[in-house]
Amino acid sequence: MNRKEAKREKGKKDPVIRLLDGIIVVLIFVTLWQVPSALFYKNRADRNPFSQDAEIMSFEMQKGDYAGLIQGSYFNSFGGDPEPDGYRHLADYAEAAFLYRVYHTTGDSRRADLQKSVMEEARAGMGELTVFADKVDRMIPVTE
Amino acid sequence: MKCEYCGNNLGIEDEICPYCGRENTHAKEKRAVLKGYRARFEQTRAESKKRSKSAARIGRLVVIGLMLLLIGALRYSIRVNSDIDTRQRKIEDRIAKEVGQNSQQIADRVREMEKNREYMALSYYMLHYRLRGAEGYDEYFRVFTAAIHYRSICNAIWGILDGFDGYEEKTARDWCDEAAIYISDWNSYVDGTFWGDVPDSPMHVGEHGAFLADIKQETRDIVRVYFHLTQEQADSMWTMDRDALGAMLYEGLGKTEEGTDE
Repeated sequence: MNRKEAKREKGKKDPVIRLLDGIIVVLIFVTLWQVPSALFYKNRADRNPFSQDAEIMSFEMQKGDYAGLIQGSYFNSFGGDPEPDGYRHLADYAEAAFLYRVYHTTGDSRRADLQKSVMEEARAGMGELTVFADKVDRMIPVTE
Repeated sequence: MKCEYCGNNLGIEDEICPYCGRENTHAKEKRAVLKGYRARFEQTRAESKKRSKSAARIGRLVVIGLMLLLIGALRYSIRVNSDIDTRQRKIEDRIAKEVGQNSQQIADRVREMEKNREYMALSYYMLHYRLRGAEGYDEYFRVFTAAIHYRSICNAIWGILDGFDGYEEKTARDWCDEAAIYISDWNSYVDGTFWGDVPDSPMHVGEHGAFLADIKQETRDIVRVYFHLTQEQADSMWTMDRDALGAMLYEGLGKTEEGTDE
């Protein structure tokens, strides 16, 4: 067999192998398509159903859902999930502001002062989210 | 090698002398040996080619098999983790395991929350660990119900304050009606008149009783402040009809803290 024939022979691939190679390529695509879905569902299943990440909390703030923010913050703390610190402080602020107005209006100065100190501490830790704390102040006006 | 007839040089593969045209007898034996080598070489080559082809096919089949197994595992994982019932069961199992392992810690934390009057925290803690109806928490049933009512009323007020529609296009009036449901149900489900609770029931004595009185008082204060109710209105709200209470709360929204209309 001369070199030319050998080369031609070499270039001629077994059709079965060609078919198997095609199947492998298809399976690679199927695998690549399945992996993200599997990771997404696995990650979701492993998470506390009530816990919230910064993205959800940010969405709640866009919708103006402060009760949802407070709820998310509690569930995050019970579930031991790493929670977005700024949002936790904002949730603390909103809850304290809500109660401060009640205690202040009903003349319970001890508890009102307690809530006030929670608000001050929370405001110091919320970073750029203070804009939402200002919003809370406008929502819950307190006559001094 | 030379031709025995004409003496010219010959190659080992020359069967006939190209100069005189006679047979090259010297190379006959050598050619036979060479032919044998060639035949063996071709045979080995063909066998090797066949083996290599089989190995390539087997290798690819193994890869395909492994990939199918991987895809199967991924599909199974997706099916298990995306199925709501399975997921819920997994979550419940995990929580039940956590509660079982930390039962004392959880019980202590509930007691602490009750003692410290952490109403909102208790309502979410109880929900997080599915304690309502859990073994060992029968005496806390009214306490937990009170915390749920408290939280629901507070959340309704938040809905009014922040304008959130609860993804249901709820209006301020809807939130007032929702708060009214929990307030008007308080005596039935928290105080236990619906269930015929006796005053010395374990759910109402000791710390539980003190907690229930305090949470009711705080709920009353919250409703009074945020809906601008008078003392009399706040005292009577527990026994009011839901619709009338909803209307009163909504009307209160339009008032200032001094009781005048805004």
